[in-house]
Amino acid sequence: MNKDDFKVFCDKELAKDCKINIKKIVDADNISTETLLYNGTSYNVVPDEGTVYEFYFSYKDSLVNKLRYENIFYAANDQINHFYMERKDDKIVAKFVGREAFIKTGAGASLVLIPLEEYFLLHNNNDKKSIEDEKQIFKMLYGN
Amino acid sequence: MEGESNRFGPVNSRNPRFEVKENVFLYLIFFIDEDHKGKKMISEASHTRLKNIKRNAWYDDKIHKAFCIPIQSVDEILTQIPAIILKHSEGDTKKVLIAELGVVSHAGGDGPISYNRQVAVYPEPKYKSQMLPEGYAQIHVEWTLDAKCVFYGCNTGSTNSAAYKNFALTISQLPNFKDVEVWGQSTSSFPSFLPDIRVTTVARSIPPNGYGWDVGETYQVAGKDKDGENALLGRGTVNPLNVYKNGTNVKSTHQGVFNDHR
Repeated sequence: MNKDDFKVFCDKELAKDCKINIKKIVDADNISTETLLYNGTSYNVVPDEGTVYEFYFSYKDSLVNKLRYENIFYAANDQINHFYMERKDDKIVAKFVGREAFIKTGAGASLVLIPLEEYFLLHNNNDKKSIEDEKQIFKMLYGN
Repeated sequence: MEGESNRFGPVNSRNPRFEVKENVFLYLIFFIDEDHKGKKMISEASHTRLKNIKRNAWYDDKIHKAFCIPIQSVDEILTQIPAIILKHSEGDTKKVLIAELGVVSHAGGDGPISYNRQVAVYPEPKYKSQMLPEGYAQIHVEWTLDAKCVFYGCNTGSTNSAAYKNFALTISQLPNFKDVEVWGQSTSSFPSFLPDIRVTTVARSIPPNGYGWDVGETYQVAGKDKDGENALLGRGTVNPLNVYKNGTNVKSTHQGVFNDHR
């Protein structure tokens, strides 16, 4: 187990309804998607230096959000790739923490999961095919 | 003219209204100086650039002033530049022009990265390790006619739009970078002994920072993934930097055209 392996920290009950898929983007011709968490089961996803990631979070296939991350911490001496999913009040919050130092400071990128329809409105995406493609990424189990 | 005066006294035929100030040309090579993987490469590459500037036959240390400036966060550029200009204007008796600005660092589509001190001025909002273009828009200097600004870090001039923003292109479109050549790496970057062929040693490749940096020169060059073995054999590929002026790609070439010790 390497320190920078992707890890999910999540209450078991909540994890049963959560999915995290990771899209790895090298360039337009080299894009792959792998599943890190699927309804309570976590899978091994190996981090790649120099890759751009898109993290797709979903809860019960209805609340979703996406975080794009350029792996800018690859050269930090304390890189980690931790995901935290938690319930805050009536919201589901996903957080990505890229460095050990951020655990102490609480830094990291947090996202509130929002209804699918609201997500596509927010991203101003009217292209039917790309909407369907993204919906799949939020819902599907991908091989690693 | 009668009755007017300037700091030399009354304006007259011996003391004209308009002073001609001597020009001073600055070459400022900033590098991120902190504990991270690759810190030796970054420090050495900035010092190689400094030595190469000073090696030029035209370099006259009375009017050309080249420096390597260690910084811990990217936004320190904004305070360092005016302080250096002020010093070299020598009480407003010299006209200070920027001939070259360089940033040697790790980088990405949002530009140079500093890890251990958060960026406070126009930080990239999620991680605060990079400064947004709005921060670079705060650099108020007078450039020389052939000035260049070079970002040596990974992917700073990437045209791989599926993955990266093109940072150099964006900076070249800022009004305060008008007519300045802005250079950015087309791919990820690696250490090399030469600017046009990727060449390294096993010693330099030992993680996290390698050894043997005091032997030979160091260039931070764009390279190909999985080309490390060729680099060890002295035949690795150097990918070009993309060069933008006022938002237009004016050339794509390796840095050896301006930065080469041979």
